[in-house]
Amino acid sequence: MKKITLVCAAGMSTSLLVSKMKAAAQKMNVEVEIRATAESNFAEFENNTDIILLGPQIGYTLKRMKEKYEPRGMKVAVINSLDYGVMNGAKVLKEALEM
Amino acid sequence: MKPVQQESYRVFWHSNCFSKNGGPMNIEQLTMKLIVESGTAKSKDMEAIESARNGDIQEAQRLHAESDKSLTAAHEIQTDLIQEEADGAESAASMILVHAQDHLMSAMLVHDFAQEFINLYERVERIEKQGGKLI
Repeated sequence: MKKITLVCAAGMSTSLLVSKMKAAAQKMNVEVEIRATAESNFAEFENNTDIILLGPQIGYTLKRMKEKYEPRGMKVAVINSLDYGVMNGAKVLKEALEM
Repeated sequence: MKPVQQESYRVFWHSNCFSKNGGPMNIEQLTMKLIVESGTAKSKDMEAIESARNGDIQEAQRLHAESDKSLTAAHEIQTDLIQEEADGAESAASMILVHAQDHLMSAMLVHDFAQEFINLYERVERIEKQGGKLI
């Protein structure tokens, strides 16, 4: 089962997206674990994550996160800000699974 | 504290505030837009500072100008919301709207400081080019 962790500044706005993504996953009938966390708290999930999705507000950390976590086999991407703005959980989930 | 109501009848016709289907945005969509625009602005500013640190002042200025656009868009939403309240519309702030305001505030602060950092890095580079040393 794929594990997706959404990371943003406080983990607040991404947690809204998480619930939309969970609903989308159920509809699409895919088994996936999705959660949101604050950037400062990501260490808690670093041994338990396949895909890291960054909120647009911390997009500037992409390079650093890639350098740190890609060698450990994780995939890192920034969530498209348009999809983020309209909380398009289905699209974000689909793109994450295609990574 | 007032209970938070769903106020989907409150819509905004600002030029920046149209949803995907072309209709006006409701308060929830506006709140998300406020977060996204503020967040994008802050992210660009942080990239601008990094570029300046790496000696690319031109790129830093370009990113700072891009951040300016997002910040202006965010600020327009903020102005609309305040205007609406000043016009007498009853407004109940949701937690997420408070959070959006927090994003905007931090983005505005970072934006001003980013320009200062860019100026400083530019100055350091000039001094170093002239053979000066920083202790």
